[in-house]
Amino acid sequence: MPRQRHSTPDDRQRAFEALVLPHLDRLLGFASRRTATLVDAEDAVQDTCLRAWAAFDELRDPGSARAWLYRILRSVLSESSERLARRARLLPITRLDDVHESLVAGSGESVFDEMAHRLDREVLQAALAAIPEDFATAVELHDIEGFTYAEIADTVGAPIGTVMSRMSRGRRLLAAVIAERGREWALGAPVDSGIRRMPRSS
Amino acid sequence: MSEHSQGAIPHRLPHDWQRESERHEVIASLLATYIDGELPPEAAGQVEAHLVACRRCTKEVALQRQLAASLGQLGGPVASAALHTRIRSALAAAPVPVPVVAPRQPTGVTGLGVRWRWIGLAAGLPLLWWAGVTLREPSRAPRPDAAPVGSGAPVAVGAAPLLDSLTAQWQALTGPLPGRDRDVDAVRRALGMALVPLVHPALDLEAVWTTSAWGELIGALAYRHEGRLLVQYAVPDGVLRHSPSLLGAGDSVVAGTRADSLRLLVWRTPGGASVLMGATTLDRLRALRSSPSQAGQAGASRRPSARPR
Repeated sequence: MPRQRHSTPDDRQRAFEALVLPHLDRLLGFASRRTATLVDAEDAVQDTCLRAWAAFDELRDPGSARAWLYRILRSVLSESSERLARRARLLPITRLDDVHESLVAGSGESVFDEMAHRLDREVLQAALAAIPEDFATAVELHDIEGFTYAEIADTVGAPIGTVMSRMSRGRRLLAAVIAERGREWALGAPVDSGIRRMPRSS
Repeated sequence: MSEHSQGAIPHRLPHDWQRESERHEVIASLLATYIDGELPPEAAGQVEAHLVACRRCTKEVALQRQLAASLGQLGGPVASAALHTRIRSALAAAPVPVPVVAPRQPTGVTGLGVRWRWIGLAAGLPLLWWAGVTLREPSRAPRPDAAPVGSGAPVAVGAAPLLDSLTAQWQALTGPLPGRDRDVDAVRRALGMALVPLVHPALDLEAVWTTSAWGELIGALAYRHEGRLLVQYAVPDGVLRHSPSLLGAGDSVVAGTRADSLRLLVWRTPGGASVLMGATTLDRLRALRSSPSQAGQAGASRRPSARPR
């Protein structure tokens, strides 16, 4: 597919803005779940736009602009993560697996059921921040951003089978985190929405 | 659950299960794919048949659906008008990149081509031997366009595709230069590497912009020197990898000739290399590059900003 051609710089900027600016809200939402403050998230989105601008002529298919932008944003966030990320209080995955097991294998009402109506923004963000980045990214791109599995695979550079696994595992871990912390949140404990990430899924 | 590294969504599940637990495990691992409507109809039908009898998987489906629905309603911040303005202003100030097509690599070699290559190699061996002796023997005055300026092993710049690419770009600079705002900081941010403009009384910085090679960004700084155009390309390590001979030069400064009159110098900088080229002499390039004000160029923090005209 040919590279994009624009007759004048103004033409190029108009085409770029028409393609990129509609995604700003979503990009900002994704970034804000990975940065300590909204200002950091805005800086990451601006940096993303500048990099996208520099590489705009390399974008061969305008239809894939969304996945392309998220790829750039993930790269920007990855580079700044050491600078921006807070320390994590991570829950061990094996313990989360046990919690999930009790959720689906138990016969009675689970903590998750009790918590279901309390799944507000704060709780979900805190839970997303408590699971490994790869799993959280897959779940967020699908459930929040509306990506298909193929688009997620394209964005994160992984085979579609890997995306399937990350979706499945990510939702299980998410449910387990909510159940694990549900009781304290239900009792009015502050929800720690600080950004904390396990580095990568294994 | 291990990741599906084979990378395929199954169209149907096998019927010859050895054990019921094996069937359960496989189906449980596909429940998210089923819920998200990404499973082909036949495999989805098999999952549904399993759900009729498996309370555990039914709970899992309900759990995941509830979570997905909650996440789908999760709102986020809205990009403010100020952010839109900031981004538009930044874009307006950013230089428009000038893309460069990387030199085409040979895609195949015919039998005739192979024969000629062997003949060429046989003929070239004495020349290579001569070049090696010449370059190692100071009294024989090595050709100035093929020797390293600093210490280190000689480098055959002719085998550097990067230099071919930059030469093509230099030759394409026939009209008005891009990046006449000379926004060094914008280019530096885009590159993510040290970008050290040359500072010399006989040099005028005329333009700064970004370009690309092999899909990666490189920076370009154009100077006017005694009426002639000189261009300094800032090449990140990622691009430099396409020219192993330059990487192999280590900290040596490499000098070379391209396109008859074009001379160039290559030296390493933090995070990449600088390539200075122009239709002038190598001695002049060396003098401009080794100006006393360039002594501190290894430190990114001491870089000057674009000078106002």
